[in-house]
Amino acid sequence: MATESATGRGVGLPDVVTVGRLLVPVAIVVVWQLMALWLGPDLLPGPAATLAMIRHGVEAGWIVGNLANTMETLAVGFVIAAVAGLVLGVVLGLRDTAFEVFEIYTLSVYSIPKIILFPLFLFVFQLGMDTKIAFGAFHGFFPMLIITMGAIREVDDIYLDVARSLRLNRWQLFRHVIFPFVLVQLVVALRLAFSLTFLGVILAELFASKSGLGLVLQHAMANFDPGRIMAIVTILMTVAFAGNIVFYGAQRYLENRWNMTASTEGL
Amino acid sequence: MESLDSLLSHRRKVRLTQLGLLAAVVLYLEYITRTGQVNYITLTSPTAMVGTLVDLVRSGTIEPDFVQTATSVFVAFLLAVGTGVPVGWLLWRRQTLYRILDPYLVAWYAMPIFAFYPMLIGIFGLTKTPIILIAYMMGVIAIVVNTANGFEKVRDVYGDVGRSLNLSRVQTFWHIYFPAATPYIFTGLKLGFIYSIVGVLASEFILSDSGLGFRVAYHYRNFQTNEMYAVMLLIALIAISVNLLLLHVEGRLYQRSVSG
Repeated sequence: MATESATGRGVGLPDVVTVGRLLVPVAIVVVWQLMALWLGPDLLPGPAATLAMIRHGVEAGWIVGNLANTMETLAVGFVIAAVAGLVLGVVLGLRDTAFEVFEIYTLSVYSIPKIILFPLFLFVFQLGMDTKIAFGAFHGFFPMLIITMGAIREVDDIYLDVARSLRLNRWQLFRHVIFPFVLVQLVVALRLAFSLTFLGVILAELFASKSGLGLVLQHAMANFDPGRIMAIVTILMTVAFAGNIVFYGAQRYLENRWNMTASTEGL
Repeated sequence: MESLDSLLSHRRKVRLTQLGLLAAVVLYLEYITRTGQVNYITLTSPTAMVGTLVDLVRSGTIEPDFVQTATSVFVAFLLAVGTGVPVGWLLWRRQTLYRILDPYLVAWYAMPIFAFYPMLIGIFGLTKTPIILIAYMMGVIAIVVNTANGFEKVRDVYGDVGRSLNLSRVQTFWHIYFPAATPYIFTGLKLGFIYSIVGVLASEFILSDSGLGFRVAYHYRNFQTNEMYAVMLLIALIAISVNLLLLHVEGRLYQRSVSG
């Protein structure tokens, strides 16, 4: 991905990239409006109608509570995925043999379409918050683990040798040698873990749950209610995008300010 | 220097440990299901899963669903390659456009694309097109991003060689840039294929009336645990083998590009 710095452009003039980025949502709304005109409001409500539907939904009370529920699930699932993936990634990444043994398993499980395993989660956790949290965390855990592991393996042996000769203890080794080296890659991992946890939570809510925006979406899809579908999709996409922007901003900051390079290959 | 012998035996040890772990897990599952420590409606034994799967394959009951799913995956993947590679190339040529779109591209994976299914049904009718389109949208971005990445990785010096040989732009592209970027593009194709599989199966699981993904949901709803696990096993085996095969080819390509 473009790694060169976006700073240092002409002074005074707003730079093309920033303006372009701000124009993308405008372009999306325009295309959306055109498609709505073409397909008709019964099939695809336009931006204005969707906004009205969201306002109506907030007043009628099917948005706020469910959104809060989905966000809570997402937050807990994301924290679990991030912490578990980070810890296991560090442990496996630092041990050559353990890494060699488990790499193939992590990559293999990651490649299975996780949705088909959903019944297993229902068996174990029953119908409720736990299933959604577990399924979301399961989605986010693997990218976190795989990227963390890979980043730590990229740390040059020379640094580890120096750390050893300086007699750093485990925590010091992590804090002063490994952490600065892998930090920006961890931010990339967190972003992907966030995205996939979010997807996992929505999938779990769609298939079987008692609450959340995914459940409302499932009803709307089953009853063919494009108004509600577009309202929920708009909210979900805004949340997904906002979350991604936070991590993306952090990644860019580290890259530009601290000259770190994130590798987004193979993602 | 480490001797080749000890290196080989190390690799063998790793392989044996991997097999041992797998065997331990399978045996444990067999044990807890055989001894009735878990309910047979919740979990069936590995031997029962394999047995049922063999029956499903032999009797041909699974075949239409398999063909259905495989066709959708391949059509979605081919569409994603056909559009993703040129668009990725375009983004590499137009760096400003690439930088404008970058934050939007990275957010793509979190998008609940399958939510558009009802509208797609409204447009295309009850055909396979909606599922193929959803899988396409899930697969194409990885190809776009990795293609753009791949061309960016080609060192400037290669382009200089092309100029010094007086190659035309088209020749430079086909003989220098494209081969040099191939491993990275392949990474995109690998991910695109895997995401296409995920897209098709997820759509089938939630909203279809045929296909392997639908089978899992169907057997689940009808408490046919044996059949459900058999189909799950089949999907997992296919996904894992495809992934391992693609990883192998990918490793070869990167190796060749380093040594060549």
